[in-house]
Amino acid sequence: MPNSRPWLAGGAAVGGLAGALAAAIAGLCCAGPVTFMLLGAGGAVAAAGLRPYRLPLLLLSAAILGVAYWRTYRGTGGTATACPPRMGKWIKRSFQIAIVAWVAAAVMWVAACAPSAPPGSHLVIGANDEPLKSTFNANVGKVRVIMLVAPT
Amino acid sequence: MWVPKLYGHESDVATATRFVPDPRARHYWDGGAVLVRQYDAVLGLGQDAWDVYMIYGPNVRWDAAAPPRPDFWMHQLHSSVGVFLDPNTFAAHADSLIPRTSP
Repeated sequence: MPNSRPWLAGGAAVGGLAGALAAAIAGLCCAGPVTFMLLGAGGAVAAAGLRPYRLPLLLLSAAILGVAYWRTYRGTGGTATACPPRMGKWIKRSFQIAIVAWVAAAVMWVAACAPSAPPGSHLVIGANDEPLKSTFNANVGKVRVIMLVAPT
Repeated sequence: MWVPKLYGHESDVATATRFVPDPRARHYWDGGAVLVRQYDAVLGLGQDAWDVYMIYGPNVRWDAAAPPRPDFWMHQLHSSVGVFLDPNTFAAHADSLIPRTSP
């Protein structure tokens, strides 16, 4: 299905990538390379335009950010003792950026999914094509376009 | 024609129709994939026919059980059959089929 607001979808993807990048930096030292791998993959897949997977990826990245939060603020007693002090400060700053980027990506994703017109009614095709066939023949004399597309 | 692909269900159709606000559009849900299979045979795709865009000229009637072959069609599938969708090309073909009345 064509996206009527591609800039929003693109923005969500860019936001996801930014979140992934920032979280990756935050996670490199304390949360580990797994954070980088999963969030990087999530951002890349979102950027590739696989719309059905954007919501699961957003939820997955939220869960990973939760782990990153635990590792950064709670798991080490409030300090990132696994890292040098300067790096620990940088990690916390990166984590905050990751949170902001994730929220931006989520908001833009919701906005991109929001419908822009009132819903239209639809007929159900059963064992035969009769509803479509009768409409098709009722419009002989006009150019007709038929699209077979997924509603998601 | 909304078809059950990409985890789509009939409950998704109402929202999806909002992306096609043209009042001339008619919306159908092919939950049993009847047309998905029929158009596979009509177009010779060798796979389920979806993400397929077809144009019929003004004189085409649908009299047989299966739908008639379109005058022009494009798709967004991984297929060596047919042509990958180009919106400008598609629109140009649709425009070329519109009957012109002389002034």
